[in-house]
Amino acid sequence: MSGVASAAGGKTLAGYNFAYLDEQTKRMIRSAILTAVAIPGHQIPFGSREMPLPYGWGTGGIQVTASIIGADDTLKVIDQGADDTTNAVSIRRFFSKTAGVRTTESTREATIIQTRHRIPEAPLAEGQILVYQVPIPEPLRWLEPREVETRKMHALSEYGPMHVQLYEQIATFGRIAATYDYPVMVHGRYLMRPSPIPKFDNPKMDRNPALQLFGAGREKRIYAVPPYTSVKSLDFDDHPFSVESWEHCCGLCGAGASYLDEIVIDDKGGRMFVCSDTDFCTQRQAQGFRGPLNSEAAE
Amino acid sequence: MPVFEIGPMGAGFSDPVQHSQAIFRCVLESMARPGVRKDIPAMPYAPPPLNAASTAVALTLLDDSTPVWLDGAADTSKVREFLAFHCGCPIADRSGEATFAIVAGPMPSLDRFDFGSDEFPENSTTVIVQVAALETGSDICFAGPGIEDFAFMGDPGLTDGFWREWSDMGALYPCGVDLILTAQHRIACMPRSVRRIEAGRTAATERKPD
Repeated sequence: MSGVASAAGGKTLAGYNFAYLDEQTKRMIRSAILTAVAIPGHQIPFGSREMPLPYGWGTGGIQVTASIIGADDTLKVIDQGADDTTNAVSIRRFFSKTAGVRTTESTREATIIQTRHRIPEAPLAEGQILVYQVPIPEPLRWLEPREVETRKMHALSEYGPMHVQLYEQIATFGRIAATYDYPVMVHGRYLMRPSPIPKFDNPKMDRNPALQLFGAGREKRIYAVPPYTSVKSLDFDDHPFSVESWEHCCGLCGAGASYLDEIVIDDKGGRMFVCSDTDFCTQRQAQGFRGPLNSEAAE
Repeated sequence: MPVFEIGPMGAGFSDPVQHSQAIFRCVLESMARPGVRKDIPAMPYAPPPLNAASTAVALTLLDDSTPVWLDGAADTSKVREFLAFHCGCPIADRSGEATFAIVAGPMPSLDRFDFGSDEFPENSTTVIVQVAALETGSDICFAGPGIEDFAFMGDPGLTDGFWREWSDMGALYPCGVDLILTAQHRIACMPRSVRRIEAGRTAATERKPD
C-alpha cells in the first residue's frame, strides 16, 4: 500500500503500540466517533480505558486523540488556552513519545488541537480537528441524576427543565448567571455541554469549519459537532445570550477582544489582565503589538 | 479431526496500524463533510466482488465485536474467508442484527437495517454500499451538518426508490442508518443527518435548522 507514511520507526517508545492504545480499542473508539459525527450533539457510550494519567486530566480527550492521530499529524495541546502548563506539556510529550508526531504551539500549523476549557482565539480552518476534554458530558445531570431519565429526556427533546434553571437564575440575579459550560443546542436537536469553556467561546462553536470532537473518559462518552453545524446557546427573547467583556485590554499584547485572565502580581492588590490564549498573545507581540504593562517593562 | 480447506488468502494491510489510521481519517473526513469524496491509497487485494475502498473500510472498522451482514452479491466464499481471516467478524444472518452491512448488489430497502431507537440511536447499522461511481457533478445536492451551504456530487446510480426511502428516514431522525458509499478507490459518506435537496429548490426556499 503506497502513499501512506509508514510507522515512525525508532522515534516512538519501544514496547508500546503507536499512540499507546491497542488497535481493538482504537477501532471501538473510531466507530463511536463516526456515529457521533452522524448524530451531532448526541452522546455515544464507549469502553473508556485506563490511561496513564488520572481522571480529570484529559483521559477522554487523550483517547480520542490517540484514536485519530497519524504519523503525519501536527499536534497542539492547550490547557485553559496555555501551551506551557503542566497538563498541556505532558499530553504533548505523551504523543511525541508514543506516536512520534510533530507538536506545535501554533494554532494555524496544528492539524489536531486537544483542548482543556478553551477554544483558540485564531479562527480554525477546514481539515483541523479540535478535541475537547470533558469532565461531565450530560447537560441535564445536575437537574436529573438518573441516566435512564436523562436518556429519555434527550429522546423526547424534553429540555424544559434546563430553561427553568436559566429562568430561575434570571429571577434570582436578574440575568443568566452561568458563565462557563453554558448549555447549547446542536443542529436544533440535542442539548449539549460544550465542556467548561467560558461562554465567551460558545459563539466560536457555531458553524465552525473545523470538526469538533468531545471525549469524557471517566463518564465514558464521546460526542461531536461536525463542521458548519448550528450551535446555539440557550437564551430567552428578553434575555438574549451575551458574552463577557472587560474594561481592560491584554497587559502584554494590548488585545481588546480576546478572553483575559486576571493575574495577581504582588501582595499590594496589584493585578494584570493577560490573554488566556498564549499562542495568540505571543503572535501579536511578535507582530509588534504591545499592552500597557509590557511597554512599562520595556522602559 | 475435520480438515478445513483454506484457499490462497489475499493480503490485508501490510502495515495495519498506520494504514487503518489513514483509512479511518478518510472515512472520518467524509462522514464529517458529506459530499466530500476521498481517494484511499492503493490496496494489495480485494476479494471479489468487493472493491478496494470497501475492503479497506472493512479492514479498518470490522472486528469480532461487529456482526456484519452481506447482501446476496457480497456473500461469496472469498469475501467470507477474507473477513473471517483478517477481521474475525461474525457474519449476521439477518440484516437487522448487524452493526455493519456490505451491499455489493442492488440497494435493499433501508428499513431492513437497524435504525436504532430514540433513546439509543447509536445502535444502528452502518452500511457500506458499493455504487457505480462517485464523481464530481451536480446531479445530487445535499444539505445538513458538515455542509457549509450545499454539497453536490455526480449521480452514484442509486434508484429513485432509495432516495424516497432516504427522505422518509429523515423524519425518524435521530434514528436511521449511516452510509459509506464506495466506488473503486473512492469513498463518500451519507450520515443520517444529511438531506437530499430536490433539483430546482434554491437556497432561498431552504430553511436551515436553528
